[in-house]
Amino acid sequence: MTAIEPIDQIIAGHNSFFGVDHLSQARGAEKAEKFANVENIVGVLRLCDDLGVSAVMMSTHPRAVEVSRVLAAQSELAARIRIYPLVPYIQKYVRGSNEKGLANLVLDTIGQAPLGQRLALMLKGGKGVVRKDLEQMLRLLLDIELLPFKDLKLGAVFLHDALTDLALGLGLEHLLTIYRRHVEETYGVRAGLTTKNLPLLRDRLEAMGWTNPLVMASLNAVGFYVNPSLEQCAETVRRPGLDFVAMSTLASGHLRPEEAYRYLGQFPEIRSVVVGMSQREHLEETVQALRQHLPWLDSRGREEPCPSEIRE
Amino acid sequence: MVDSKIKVGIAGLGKMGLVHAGILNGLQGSRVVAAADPSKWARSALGGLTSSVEMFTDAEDMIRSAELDAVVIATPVDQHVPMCMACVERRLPFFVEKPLTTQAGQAEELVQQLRERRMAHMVGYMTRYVDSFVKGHELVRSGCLGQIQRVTATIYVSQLFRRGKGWRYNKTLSGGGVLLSQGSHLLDLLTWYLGPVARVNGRVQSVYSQEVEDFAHIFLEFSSGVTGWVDSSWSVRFRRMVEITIELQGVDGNLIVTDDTVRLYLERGFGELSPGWNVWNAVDLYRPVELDIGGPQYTREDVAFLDAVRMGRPGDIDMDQAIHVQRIVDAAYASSAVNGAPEEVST
Repeated sequence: MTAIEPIDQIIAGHNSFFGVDHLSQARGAEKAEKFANVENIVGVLRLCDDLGVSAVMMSTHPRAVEVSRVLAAQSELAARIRIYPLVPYIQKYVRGSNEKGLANLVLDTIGQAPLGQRLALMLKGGKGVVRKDLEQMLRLLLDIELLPFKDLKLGAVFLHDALTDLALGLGLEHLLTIYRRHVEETYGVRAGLTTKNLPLLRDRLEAMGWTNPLVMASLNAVGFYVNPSLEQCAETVRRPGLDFVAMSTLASGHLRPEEAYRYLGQFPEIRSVVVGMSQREHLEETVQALRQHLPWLDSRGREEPCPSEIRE
Repeated sequence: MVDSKIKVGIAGLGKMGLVHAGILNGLQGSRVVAAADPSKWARSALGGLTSSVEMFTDAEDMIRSAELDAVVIATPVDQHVPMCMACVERRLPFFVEKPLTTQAGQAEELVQQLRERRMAHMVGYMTRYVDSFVKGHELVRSGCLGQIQRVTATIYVSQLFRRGKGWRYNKTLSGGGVLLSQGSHLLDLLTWYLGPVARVNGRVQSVYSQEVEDFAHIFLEFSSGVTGWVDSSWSVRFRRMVEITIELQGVDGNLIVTDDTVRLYLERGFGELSPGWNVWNAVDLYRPVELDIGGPQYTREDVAFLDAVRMGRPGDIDMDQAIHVQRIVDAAYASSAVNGAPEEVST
């Protein structure tokens, strides 16, 4: 496991690129307009890089293909920037399952891959399906999601909270182990989990023998998207043995960077922070507040390699 | 130790069936013990991966033979009423996804039976559990707007730009298009805010779908005398997610409620509310939940259902409310068939 590279300590968020805004859908749509031109996205990545943030989260939004292509063409920039895919782009699955049903959507998706055609036919044919086939289906879905980034450097992969939390709720946490093994073995980077239920996820992962899991969740002074309570999440972050990545740190722009990071400064356990950025002034203010209040995060730095494994 | 958790069976393992299964299996007070789906691979996906859930091909079979305390019905719409009836026969509390049925007429006997039995049941109009719409309801009911004069409301999503596949676009299975599938959420919210609707004029339009509508425009007249309109479509551009906007105008102010924000304008102060603009955003309104899978509103909805099961009474959104929404939709379709002539909403 130590062969796997450590993750970046400041990661630029991707939401504004794709019109995602958890505070206001209307504001999200405005940002989507601004970033309708892919060159503008690459411009922001260049700006981040100038300020020392060379890592970016990237949803597998349909436009990620185009963004990746344009970025890959800028070889100097592409060589420095590491991409953190967040898989899958969940709205695609919500809309797709409204359009054709969840089962059809999954089968059509894996059917797109050469290796998936036979499996899709088999599943459609309604023959007896064994566990091995379903695990293979999950791996194929992952590979298809990660295809847009094939020419770029990956930092780590994160699983969308809707899937992490669904697996948790259904009691199918062992699927998370399949996900993790596949990402680490095939892509050589860490496999992170995103969640809206941090304390529960940590308990379940530890029960499965995961040590130092890489987990991303919301943490902010106002408790936005923090379940079941800010107190319980704070306690979970403080307990050693978790590689915690903080997101929604500005509560979708509700908090100013200064007050947001003053609060997070009390959690030296934080390994890495995801920060939204779309404008230079905002970006500069954010990076400055981070350096002041979370001085252990060096934007050029990476976390210490730590033993992270699954103890059977 | 006796297992005091409410044992739930899930009928239908599509998107919503899985969300409810995840929540009801994950909450402290309940667990999923059975599930049913006609698709073999959907069954084997869940059944092969977990041994604690008994799998059925036929949901009615599950309702009749599994040892359950409650059932979640998340099948295509045309199967809702038969499944509900199977639950009523067994006196088994049930939660049924929206919309209730393909046509109000199909559900009349069900409505009658539930009026006689007052057993635990609930219909899944989940937008009632979205923080902003809860706040909107509180403000409307407070009377701060004074006499309400008009309402306008829209529900839009960019979902369908070619012919859709699957049961939602087959009128026999779904009962209707965007008005029934998504507009019904809006009609449920409006009747929750303003009471029953007396008559409607409707116009629906199909662009991409062959059998169901992609656009619907309805003029509403509430029993209280308030009038207004609703517009809905799943084929508009630039709406990444479903977006609802409700605007109310009263003698003393205006209220604009969206999925994430509440904006209230008052001519004069009302209790703790100041004159001028009062605004609440998603962060102001956020309340945590025990377990969040796909949004806290789904957890709140399922918790409300579990409360109803424990108390042995109908939940927040009961059959009488759901059938009223269905009758508004039926009246709108009937009106559209006669070029928008006014149509009474049956009672």
